[in-house]
Amino acid sequence: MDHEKISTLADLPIGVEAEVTGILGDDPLIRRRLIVMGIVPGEKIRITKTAPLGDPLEIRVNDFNNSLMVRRTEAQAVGVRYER
Amino acid sequence: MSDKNGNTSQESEGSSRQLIIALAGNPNAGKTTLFNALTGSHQKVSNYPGNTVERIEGVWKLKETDLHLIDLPGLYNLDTTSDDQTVARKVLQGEYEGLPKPDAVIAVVDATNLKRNLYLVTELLECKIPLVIALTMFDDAEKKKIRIEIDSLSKLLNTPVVAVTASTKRGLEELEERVLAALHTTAQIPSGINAITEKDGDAQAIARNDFTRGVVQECVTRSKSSELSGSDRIDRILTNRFLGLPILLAIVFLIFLIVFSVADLPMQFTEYGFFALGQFIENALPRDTLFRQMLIDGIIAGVGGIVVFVWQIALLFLFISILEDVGYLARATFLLDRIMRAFGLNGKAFMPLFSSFACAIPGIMATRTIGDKKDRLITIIIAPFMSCSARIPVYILLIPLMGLSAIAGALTIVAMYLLGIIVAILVAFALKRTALKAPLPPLVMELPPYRLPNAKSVLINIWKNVRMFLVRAGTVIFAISIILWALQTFPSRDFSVPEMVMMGVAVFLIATFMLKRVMNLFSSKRVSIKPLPSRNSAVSWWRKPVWRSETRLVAIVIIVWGLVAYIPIYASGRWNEPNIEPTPEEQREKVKTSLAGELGRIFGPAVRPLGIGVSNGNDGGERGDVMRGEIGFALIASFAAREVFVSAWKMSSLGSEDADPDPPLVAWNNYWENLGTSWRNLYHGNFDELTKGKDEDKSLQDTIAKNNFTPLNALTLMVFFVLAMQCASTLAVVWRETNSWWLPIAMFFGMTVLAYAAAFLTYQGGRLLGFA
Repeated sequence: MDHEKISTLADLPIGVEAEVTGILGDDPLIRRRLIVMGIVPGEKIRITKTAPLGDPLEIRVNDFNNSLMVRRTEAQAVGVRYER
Repeated sequence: MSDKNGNTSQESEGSSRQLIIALAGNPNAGKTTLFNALTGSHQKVSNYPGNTVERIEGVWKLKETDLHLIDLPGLYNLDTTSDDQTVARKVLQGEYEGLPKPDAVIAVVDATNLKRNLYLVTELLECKIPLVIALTMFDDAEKKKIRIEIDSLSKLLNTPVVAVTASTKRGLEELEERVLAALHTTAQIPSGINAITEKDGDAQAIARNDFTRGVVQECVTRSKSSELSGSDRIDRILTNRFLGLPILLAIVFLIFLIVFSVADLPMQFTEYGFFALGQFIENALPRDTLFRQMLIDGIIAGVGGIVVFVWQIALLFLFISILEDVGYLARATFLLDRIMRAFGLNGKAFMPLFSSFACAIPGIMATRTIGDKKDRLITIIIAPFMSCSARIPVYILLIPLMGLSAIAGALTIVAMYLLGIIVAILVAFALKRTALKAPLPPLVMELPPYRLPNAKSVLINIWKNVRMFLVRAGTVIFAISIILWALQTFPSRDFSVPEMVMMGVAVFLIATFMLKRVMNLFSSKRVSIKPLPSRNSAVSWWRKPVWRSETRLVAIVIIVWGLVAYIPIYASGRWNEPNIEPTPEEQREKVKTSLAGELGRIFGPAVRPLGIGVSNGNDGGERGDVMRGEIGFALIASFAAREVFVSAWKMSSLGSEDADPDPPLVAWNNYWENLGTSWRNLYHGNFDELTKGKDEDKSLQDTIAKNNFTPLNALTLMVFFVLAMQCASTLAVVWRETNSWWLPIAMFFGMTVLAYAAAFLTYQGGRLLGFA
């Protein structure tokens, strides 16, 4: 049964596509950096893999060609919504 | 040539002000490749005043005019507080003294990544400077089935757009025309941008994003392909959860292996070259004088000793540049970030620290890429702990003295490397927790697609680093060699008074100039930015700015010294009289009675706690004192440059230095023979044969063994060398790069104390375990 889950990018299971709902967190530098790189509300986003120690994450934002890497702590600033 | 405002002349020479073009764009967008294509090798690298951001500028010859081209740091945006962005903003607003607002900006935009690249473009459009967009990677975009309507894009942004391929020079002519045209227009802000500037903070950033999304929707059509790109397929292995790190380690190991083995042959050629130069001087000036000795034993020996490492540096940077161009360094950051963070290091410190294994000088210069000030400082502080090439001659000398089996010897060398790395990690960790505590800069980074390296960029990068090494290390070592040589020669009764006077003058001058440079750092005079000389100017090489008057003065003193030394000889007809060669015993005596020898004796007691010269628990009496004096002398000499330790020790204990280097043909044959022998031994498992020391060191080893030099002594000395700061050139570079006089001093004392403590522990620990 599909239901919507709301959480952060850090908790998104690998490979599952989600939609960005908001940019959160206290650090304005991280928030700005995420927005500049194209992670904004409405974009589709997913995690493609993790580094050997689980951190950082390699992610793909749907309109872009190049993958990005983010740390888990930074991923916590991205609110997402996905179907499970 | 007048600019759009009709301004012509401003400079005192009556020529019109050189027009300034800024090059801006994302990292990996091909900005630097374009810059290299436009300026060739006519580039200059320096610093912006007040910080460590690399300042790269060059001259672009555009249809009879020379334009001052500035390569701004690669940026994704301009609106936050990092050093890079602050510098770019200041340049674009003309806030640097001597650097007026640019007359045009070229925005380098990656066609395969349009949306992300356009964010910066929206900010550039607000700067009110005429803009031209250079669209790169067009062929890659076509391969990925991305179609861009250039006219549509140009209209939406109100800006000319030119597709360029820097490597084939396609589109460069059109770019030239557009830039020329842009220089005569005033910038106009397209309508969509105004709405953005009305917002604030995050909302503004999101509005920019919406704008770029709109533009891209209009101009770009993509056929969605769900298959993995080539880069993704490669990454399945290279950033694989299990294979990623082992592959990285293998690549690092392979690079070291290749660099150190391949560089050996050209190193021997270079050694021979300097030796031949010395022979030439001996033949040209047959009579031995203080002057001739200064040239051969001072300058040639000193400078040659450092220059010889240029091959390892060039090779190492060859590999690093290729890895960077290809895009692998970003993957290395991805794999290592977690580990380096745990050690208190910034992910970007990997490359500088890696380079430091060849030589800390280019490594420390490479820390400019680390944006964060505190992280950069930490990296600079620990870079010298990465065992550099200069330590290798010392390891090679001392390991056989430990009398270990071949495998144990090899493991000991590895242990020395590891010791340096572990101490570096501990120091970084401690610093990050205490003095240099700071929040971590955000990582969010692109993983660019893998690309073929650009040969020109790679070569330019290698040359940049080699040149900086030669200039920085070369000038410092030149000065220090003369001073050290003077210490080892004075007081010499064999030579004429006028010569002694000249030696005093030269040393005094050099010391004064060095002191003056230190004092300069106390003054608040800021370096102003001068326009670059025009490409066509036939400026004689001796008039170029790099030859300052201090250098000329030193050169004049040296010439006068030569004349003072040789004119009397010539006049009295003694030109071809044979010299009286001193015996090795006499040489040893000379060393012992020199200033440096005295210092060595003074320092001798200091190495007693390290067990040098000690035998059976007591301090070895007179023989122990002699040994300590010899080692003390060699240690003092090595504080200028580590590899000097070997020749200095041989000098003080044997009275003769290293054997003459082999001529090129002999060296070539020996190299391949040794290589073949090594591989055969490896294949057959004859490890003993592999690590046999060179025969010429046997005499030193025999002498030392007679003087109670134990294996533990060898280990203790090696530990000292791993951790001590014994490189004047490194200190000079730290000083230049951080603009502080206290940091090099602190590093020197801190590392030396650390080295001493570690050596002390090694010796005492060894004694407790019964190895003395």
